[in-house]
Amino acid sequence: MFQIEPPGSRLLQGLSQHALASLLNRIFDTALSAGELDFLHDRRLCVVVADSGPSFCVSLRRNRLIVTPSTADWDLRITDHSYDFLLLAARREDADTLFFQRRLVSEGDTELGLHLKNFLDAQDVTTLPYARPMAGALTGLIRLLVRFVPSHHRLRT
Amino acid sequence: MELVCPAGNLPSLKAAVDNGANAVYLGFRDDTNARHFAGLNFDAKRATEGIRYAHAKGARVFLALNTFPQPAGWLRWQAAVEQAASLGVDALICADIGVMAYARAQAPELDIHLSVQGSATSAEAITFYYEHFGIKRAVLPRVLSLKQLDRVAGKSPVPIEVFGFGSLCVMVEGRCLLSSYVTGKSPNTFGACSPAASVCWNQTTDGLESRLGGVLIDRYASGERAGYPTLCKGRFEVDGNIGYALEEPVSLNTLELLPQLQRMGIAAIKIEGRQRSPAYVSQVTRVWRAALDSCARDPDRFAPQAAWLSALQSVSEGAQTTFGAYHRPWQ
Repeated sequence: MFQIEPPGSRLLQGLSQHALASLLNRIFDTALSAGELDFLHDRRLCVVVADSGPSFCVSLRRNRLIVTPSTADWDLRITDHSYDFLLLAARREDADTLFFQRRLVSEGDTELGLHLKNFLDAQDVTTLPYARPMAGALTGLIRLLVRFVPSHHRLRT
Repeated sequence: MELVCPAGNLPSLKAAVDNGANAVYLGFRDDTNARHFAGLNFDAKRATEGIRYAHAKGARVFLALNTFPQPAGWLRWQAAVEQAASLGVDALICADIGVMAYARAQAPELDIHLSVQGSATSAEAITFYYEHFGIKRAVLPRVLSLKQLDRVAGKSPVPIEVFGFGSLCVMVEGRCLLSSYVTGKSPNTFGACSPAASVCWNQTTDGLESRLGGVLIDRYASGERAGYPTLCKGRFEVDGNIGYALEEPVSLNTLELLPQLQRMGIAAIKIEGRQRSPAYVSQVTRVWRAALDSCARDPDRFAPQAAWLSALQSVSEGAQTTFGAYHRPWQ
């Protein structure tokens, strides 16, 4: 385990749950319309960013993604460090790789987790809303955080 | 040698093609293929787009129809053959002789490849499939030593495809019933060794426990690399000792064997991992493309680069990579 200090954590803390929900609903608008996120209906996905503290739950209600403070009654809990979450979001690392390496921890409903992973992997990130600014932001954040990450966890380029 | 890469979704297909795959293989969203997981695989719309993408860049598309239909489900396999034909895939990868016979009769324009699940381990078995179903290629199970492989490839009436990299299946593919003992579902008919609904991961004070169908199959110490929760790779108590009774969670890596495989006339190398993400497909395809090109140029002086090996090691299941059965001098 390792500790990453400031940059990413501050950003994540600054992003309010409401803003995050808006962003997610916008990004996955097409998938929501197609019912591809129905598997999250009334299920609680808890995301824990291990190095920066914030954790929150995502769920689907009335076909909208909602973000709430984390609770104990989650169905699936995913825990990892911000650097790894950024690598996953940027499509630069594979979730199973992180799991095999014991970096990403998945607890609870395995099928829900697998469905979520497969849903995310199937998204064509180049066609999602905000694709270019998101890619730029992710690259910048990864560059910023990489210096706080032990060398054996750094992604080879 | 041709490079055949996995695609569990459209971005992975594009990643494979963009990084130099000669062919990709994919499955439909049901139990007609051996990677039957929620949210994975292709519906007709995405398959159409994927096939168009691959063909535009000169790559072929194979469809895995490699599970064994049960009486009540036959119509799904029949529909899959018909859909594959209308989508215009280049080949079907089949294991079941009923599916092969149906495809041969109803969609003769589609090539048939014998799946690894067909478990053909002799030239005679391959010849049987060739004579009866006109197969154009055979994918061999990962149970043969190099010497055995050489013998089979030398006498086979069709080109041979072998596995080059990925999570290892240790039993005789297509005949393994292990997981059905604890999940009630067989990989050969349901399409998954560890149906996700039967899998439970639990962090305890003793370590990370994996359970399949409620049965404890492994407990990983802190920091110990994990593997997929399959029964064959679990640790069990045998005669008072706890260890890997059947096989360790390892990944096959035959990079160093490429010159030998090339000399045997192996037609294609297959990469495992339709359940993995586009990032894995990019990383692994890139390495294997470079290695195959290097081997084709000068097999006598071919040596895997350290960077290739470490890239493959980092995405591997479990603690190590292995030659698997290829290196079994006693076999």
